Amino acid sequence: MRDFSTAMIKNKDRLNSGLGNLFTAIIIIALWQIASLHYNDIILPGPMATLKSLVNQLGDNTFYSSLLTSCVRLLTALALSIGLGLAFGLLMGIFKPVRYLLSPVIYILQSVPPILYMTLAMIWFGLNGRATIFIVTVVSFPVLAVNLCEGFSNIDPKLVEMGRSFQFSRSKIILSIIIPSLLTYLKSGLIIMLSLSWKLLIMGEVLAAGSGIGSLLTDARMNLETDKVFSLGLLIVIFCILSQLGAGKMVEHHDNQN
Amino acid sequence: MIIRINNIDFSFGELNIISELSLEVRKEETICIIGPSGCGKTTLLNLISGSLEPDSGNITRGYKRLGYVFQEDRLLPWKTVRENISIVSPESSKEELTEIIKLVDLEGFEEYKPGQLSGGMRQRVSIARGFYYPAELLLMDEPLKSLDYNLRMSLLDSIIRLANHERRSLLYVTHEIDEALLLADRIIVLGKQPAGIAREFTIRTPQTERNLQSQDLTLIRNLIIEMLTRKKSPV
Repeated sequence: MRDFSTAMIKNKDRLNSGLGNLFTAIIIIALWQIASLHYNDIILPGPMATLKSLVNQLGDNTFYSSLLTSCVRLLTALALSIGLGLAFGLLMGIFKPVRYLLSPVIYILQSVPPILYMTLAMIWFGLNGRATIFIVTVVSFPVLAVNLCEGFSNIDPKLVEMGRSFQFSRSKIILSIIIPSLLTYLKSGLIIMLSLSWKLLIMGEVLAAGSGIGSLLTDARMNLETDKVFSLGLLIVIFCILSQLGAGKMVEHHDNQN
Repeated sequence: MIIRINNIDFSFGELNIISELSLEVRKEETICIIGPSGCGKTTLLNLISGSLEPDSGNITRGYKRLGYVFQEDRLLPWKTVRENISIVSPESSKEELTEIIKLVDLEGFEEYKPGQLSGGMRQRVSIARGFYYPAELLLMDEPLKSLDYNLRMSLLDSIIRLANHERRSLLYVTHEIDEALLLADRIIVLGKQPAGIAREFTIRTPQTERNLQSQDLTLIRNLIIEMLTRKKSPV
């Protein structure tokens, strides 16, 4: 993908940005350490206490079973929202009338605050995992639908005309021009969706589930184990970033095959 | 005969674009169509390709397939140079692909993506793609329009090499007289709107022996300039 004449500049850029990130991290940790000296551990645990709690978590089976529960919920919700997002996005992209009919629905779904869905879900599904799956799905599938729809309106008509001029079959136009054009939009939709999903998942579990990473947070809050809240937070951020990178890589891989 | 255009007229609403135009393209003949900007050259190409229908007159086609080189490169950004060329004719041989890439001086760039190439190189890929497509007639609509003079002359060399590599009929639209002088067997000069054929020049010197400074090419150039700058439509 990378141009060879600019590869060196890019490597240098990467090094510089890496150094920058490291520097920022050191400053933040130092400030955190200084601040934590002024408060007790219940208000603000220091970096060392957080690290210790992190190691404890990683050695604890409850953590892994909670993680598993959360992941199953996340994957279920993602499967639902990818299915719905693709269906809505493709229908809206391919058929103009469907776009006019459905886009108000999508925009309304997007402007409702997630906490409202949460309240409703707690009434409808009760305090279990289903409420969480519901809010993750209902908030994240419109993101994918809107992105795909956008992708359709950005397909270069000149490229399609080129395909027609060289007598590409309909399926060849779809496979070699339309789908690759949509992939960038699909990729960004998926990445936004994933980070949104993690955040909503945790919120849902904190508010309305007796299991999963979110409920570990609730327990920690009730037991005033602030260090545990911090270390769980750190882990959630790490999972969120890892899954976004994973999704990006997956779509990119597919992109290269085409 | 590859295509015969018989006395066609074409208007967009009230605006008469082409009037009483007749033209025959023979087998393996290179025709350059030259005319002032906006005189209806692209409309003529659209009539020839069949994406527009003439209001009156008729067009007889004796070809099976038609190739294109567009004004813009129209390359697929996610495909490599090699894939962008081979996609139009997957059934053609690998050797032919290698040969075509060599003729447009793109050896060593086969695995690059369009985004990594300069504008001139991208247009080389687009030209190679047009010639790789097996067609009896290749339409080229100002393919060098966006390039500077030196680049245009160097790409024109590639086009001449490709044209001689495998002979076919070429219909090349341009507003650059020098391109036409170096490439054409016949130059068709269109008048201002409504466009009809104002004049026709035949050049018999082989493309590889032409010199823009030579007496006959200078003479033709001056005549064309005079026609293009004349106030009234000479039709």
